[in-house]
Amino acid sequence: MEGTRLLHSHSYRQDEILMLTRIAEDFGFTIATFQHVLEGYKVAERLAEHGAGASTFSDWWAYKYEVVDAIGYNGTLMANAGVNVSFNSDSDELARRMNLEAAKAVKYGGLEEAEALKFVTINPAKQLKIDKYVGSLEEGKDADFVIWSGHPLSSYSICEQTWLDGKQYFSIEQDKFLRERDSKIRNDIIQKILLSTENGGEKMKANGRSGNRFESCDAFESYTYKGEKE
Amino acid sequence: MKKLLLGLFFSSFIFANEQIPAPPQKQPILLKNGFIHTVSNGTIKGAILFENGKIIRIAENISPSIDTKVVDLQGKHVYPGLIAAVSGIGLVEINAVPVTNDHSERGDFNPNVRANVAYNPDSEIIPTIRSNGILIANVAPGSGLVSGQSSIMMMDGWTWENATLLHPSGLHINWPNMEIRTGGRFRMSAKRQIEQRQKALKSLDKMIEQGRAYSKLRQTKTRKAEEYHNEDLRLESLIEYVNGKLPIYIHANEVRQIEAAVSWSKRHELIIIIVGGKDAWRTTTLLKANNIPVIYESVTSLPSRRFEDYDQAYKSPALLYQAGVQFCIASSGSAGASYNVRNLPNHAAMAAAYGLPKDIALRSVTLSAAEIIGIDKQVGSLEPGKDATLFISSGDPLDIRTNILQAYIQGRTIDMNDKHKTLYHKYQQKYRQLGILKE
Repeated sequence: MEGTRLLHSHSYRQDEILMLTRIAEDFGFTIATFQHVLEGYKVAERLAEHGAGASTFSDWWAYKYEVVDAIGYNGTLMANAGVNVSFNSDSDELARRMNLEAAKAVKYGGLEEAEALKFVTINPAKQLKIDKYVGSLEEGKDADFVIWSGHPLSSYSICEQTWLDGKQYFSIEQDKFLRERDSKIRNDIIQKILLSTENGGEKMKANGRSGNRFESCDAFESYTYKGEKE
Repeated sequence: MKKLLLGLFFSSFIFANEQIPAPPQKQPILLKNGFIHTVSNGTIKGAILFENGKIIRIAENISPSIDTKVVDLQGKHVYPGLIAAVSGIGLVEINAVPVTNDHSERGDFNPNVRANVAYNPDSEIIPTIRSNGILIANVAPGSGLVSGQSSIMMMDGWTWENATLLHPSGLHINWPNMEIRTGGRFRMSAKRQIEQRQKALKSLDKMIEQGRAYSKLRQTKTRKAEEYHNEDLRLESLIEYVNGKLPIYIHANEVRQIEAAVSWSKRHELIIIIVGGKDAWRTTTLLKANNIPVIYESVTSLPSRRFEDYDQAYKSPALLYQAGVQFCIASSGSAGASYNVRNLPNHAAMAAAYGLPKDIALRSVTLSAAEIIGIDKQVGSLEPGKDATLFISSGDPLDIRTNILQAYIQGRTIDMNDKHKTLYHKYQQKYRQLGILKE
């Protein structure tokens, strides 16, 4: 309320959005972004007047009553009414292909491709107030960027490299190396397990599926990528 | 200006608020000066003529008769209607509002359930699906062990009877979970899990044996009177399946489920289709050797195991293709996610981005799907004699940015509006009134 921290609010319906902007204005503060904001297109002028951004998505309607009026055109309608719009997802699966989500602003409402790309680059950076570091390629900004095989809004394009702070974090070539390495490690371990029982070792019980999908790679330090500079 | 021209150009097409089901095709329609993507026979720069709901001719030049309605495509594209090989469209309106759902019955064993009688032709979801080029859907119930029988529906019609293209298309079984789950919130003991699995597997064997015995009894000429009174609707509906006449759709994603289902089908000599098939890439040899097709539902999913590649789900269709497994691509067939079936074309494009040839990607949501679900004689490609179930698009329909401009189902000119477009146009008016939107 003192304006020192950003305030993001989850919302679906226009009445919720109206209510919170009015309350915020009564108390003299501003909502930085409305998240999800599925009916933002119904009160876009209010969002613009209040100065709030909108972070939304194109699909996921008809699963509960609050979202039955969610439409793919939401992003475009709000952007055309002067709201700073971004696209997000709270699905870890969908969040890894936000470029294709941006393409939906072109499909639904005919937004210019360059504007649609801003939905997943500079616009969310502005909403998070990190646009002086990231969100666009400009001199002086962080060297965070992606190299695509084609137009990033094309469904046929794939990410070939990602760089953060000037350091390469992913490349298809490196990934290819890691795949071969990991498959070798995996086979080596399996062979060792098989051998250990043949040599009279104890049989291990199958552990079943664990809920832990990610584990540390520290155990495999000796298998580093040769193309990568230390 | 470009948009204005497009608007004028297509102003002759139907775009109503009520989304009235289309009347039968009254006059021949010729779409000319475009690209006709036949799927079965390459792409032809030219024209397509259809009459009484059927495709008559595809050629570079076709001269129309006097009564033919001629549409100048101006370089636009024509494709066969896309097919959702498994879906819950029309059975669920709002997932979290149970009274709007009709995809489940009580109990584990419901082979007599038929999808099309529960299909709501007025579902608001249907027009949003066909707006993206999906004109046919294999609609399946989803509950219990044996869910019921699916029906192939056209995405337009006054009643479920009008909309049905084929019933039944198959029997749906949710294959029992084959893995022992531990950890996290999962509390059931391994022993109990194994018991449950064995019980379910036994009941599937028993179902086939009972179905066979019943079928034999029904074929006996010298039946006693009381046997007529012992008709059993559930066993009755199994006859075509236990005798290997119609396919059984096995919903199975995990590798052991797929292996167990294949073994079961061989033991009982059944025709099966694997639906889901997330792990199908690991069982290609088995699937190919037994001619078992896969309806792959998992393009937009994360890796199942730590050792899998980040793009495993995207590249699996390419691996199935390279291994010679018959497959098609579907969006999630879960009834609760039927509104997202509109993204089906993009699933095919993503498979193409990760190694599937582009023409096979298109085939995987048209002709390949039609072949697997048993309607390829009628739809799935543009060929003379097949249904005129097709659409005009601004470009490649698998790319998200492309728009579908006009659809025809059995030659009927389909209303291309939907709830979302209505709301879009409504709120454009609001911002025009406020002077925010100029055009």
